[in-house]
Amino acid sequence: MSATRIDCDICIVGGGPAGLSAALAAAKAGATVHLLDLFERPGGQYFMQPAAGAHGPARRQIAAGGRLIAAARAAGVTVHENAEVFGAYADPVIYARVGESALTLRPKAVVIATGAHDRVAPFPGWTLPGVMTPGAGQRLAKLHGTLPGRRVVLAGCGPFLMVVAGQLRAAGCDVLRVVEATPSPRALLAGIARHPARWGEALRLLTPVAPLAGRFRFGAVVTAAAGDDHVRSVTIARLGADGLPDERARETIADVDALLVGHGFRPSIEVPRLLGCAIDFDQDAGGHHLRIDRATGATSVPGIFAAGEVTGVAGARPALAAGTIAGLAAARHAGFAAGKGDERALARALDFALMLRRAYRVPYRALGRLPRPETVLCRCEEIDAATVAAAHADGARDAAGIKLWTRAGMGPCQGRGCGFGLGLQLAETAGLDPAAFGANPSRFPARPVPLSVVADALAAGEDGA
Amino acid sequence: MSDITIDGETVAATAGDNLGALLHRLGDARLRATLSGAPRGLFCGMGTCFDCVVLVDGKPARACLTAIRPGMVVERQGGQP
Ligand SMILES: Cc1cc2nc3c(=O)[nH]c(=O)nc-3n(C[C@H](O)[C@H](O)[C@H](O)COP(=O)(O)OP(=O)(O)OC[C@H]3O[C@@H](n4cnc5c(N)ncnc54)[C@H](O)[C@@H]3O)c2cc1C
Ligand code: FES
Repeated sequence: MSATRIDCDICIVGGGPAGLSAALAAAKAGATVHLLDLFERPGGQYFMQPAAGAHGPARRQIAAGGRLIAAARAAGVTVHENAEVFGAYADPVIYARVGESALTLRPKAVVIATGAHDRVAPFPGWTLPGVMTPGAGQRLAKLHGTLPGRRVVLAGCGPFLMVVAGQLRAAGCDVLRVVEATPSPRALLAGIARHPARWGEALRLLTPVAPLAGRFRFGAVVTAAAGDDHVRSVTIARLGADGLPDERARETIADVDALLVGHGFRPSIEVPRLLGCAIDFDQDAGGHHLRIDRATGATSVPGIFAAGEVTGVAGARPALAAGTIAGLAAARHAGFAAGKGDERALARALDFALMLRRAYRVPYRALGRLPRPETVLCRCEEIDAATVAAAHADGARDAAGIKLWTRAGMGPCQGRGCGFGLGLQLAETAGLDPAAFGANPSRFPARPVPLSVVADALAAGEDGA
Repeated sequence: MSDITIDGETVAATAGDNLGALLHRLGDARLRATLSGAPRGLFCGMGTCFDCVVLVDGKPARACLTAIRPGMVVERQGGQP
């Protein structure tokens, strides 16, 4: 039995740009701050820290993240690495697992900064080894010095595809195609032109992918991946005027050994859902995300604040600005005299994020049409599209119903992988509104954890423990 | 270099390196098979999807979140319930 209990002013869940800036702001205001992050080193996605330090094409970004982490530690923030939060109650109490040990926090206020994960819609062949998310390809190359494959196709929608294409090319991959669903880059380039303050950043993004310009296919989607026990070929199709794949405008790419596909990101809302925090739905903000007051980061639950991608996907700059605002508000809640943060900086950063969102067109309709009856929609439980369609015919109308009927969404990932695809599929084939389809209900524990760790964590959290 | 065991075979590995990345290289992206026998590899690479769950020293663990320790015993099958 091993459990650590910490009583403190503020607990931050997630150590990306949002969580780190919240922690720094709260600690500077005088609060005792504990930050929990799942990964080996803090930084989250944007500020991920390779063991080798700031080298390679992303060195500026890595170095900036390193400085933020160092500043937070210097201000007194305690960072718990490899700490996965699996439970939470609005008392508030936060339960985490660190290896085989339990860590329980009883803070006065909480900042949720759990970020987002890649959003992937199912298609025939998407479970084959070698088919991964762009985020997985990025981590392999950037953190682990491993190529996802030698001959790589990137596909999906959003600026992240360009980021990863540039990084993989620099790492030595042959990037065969970048299949971007948006019809053309015109809206993106025009949008960047209207934001001179971001030109330097845009240049650093576009320069590494410029040599790949001829490899881009705009207005197209991957319709299938094929191979025996490994992806070998990828079929793409142009999107027609009706927004659906035009089967006559197909191309098959051969000799592929990795396909990285993602259509933006989905906010990671399981932990705050356990706290009872209200959510909103906006497909272009990643789907379900936490409802907050932008001026303070306050969620619908008193004492629980949030910042960053978990409140709607917008990128690193808004996450940094919103993190400061939420950290200060949490400190005020815990009784410290703290300022309010720069709401105008947040508004400017969100403005650019909105431009980016509008410049890209996720082909939701087309994606909902890709699965065939035998295509697996829920990777954990191996539930196929035919089974989901049958459950709908029997009366299942939302994520909770489909889960009860079919087990789709009941596996260890708790619907984080399949929720997007299930919603799209039922929107397209049965006319269900993805907002009304709802989010997979969170259950405790939010991650698979040994029972002994759960028991230790709960015992440590009891009053007088 | 430090030795670890993967499915009964000794493999030279570097302590602290990522187990998921090692299995990705060794298996040419193939990592395990599902209950139905379908092959799977890394998918999310960041602890979200659980496609990479293997047994590490007899306990289920996501390979993509696991740092290699000397003497570690890895079984690719059996990590999923
Ligand atoms: C895979 C991926 C790659 C990305 N790469 C880029 C990029 O290269 N460039 C770019 O501009 N933007 C990138 N983004 C967008 C990115 O979301 C933002 O730029 C920025 O990192 C958001 O900051 P954040 O703090 O909100 O979330 P994140 O940076 O995602 O940080 C969230 C942190 O919370 C942790 N966490 C989540 N759940 C738990 C839990 N239950 N217990 C403990 N810790 C938890 C995560 O491990 C993570 O470290 C990426 C997003 C994703 C999903
Ligand atoms: S690859 Fe998804 S959890 Fe490891």
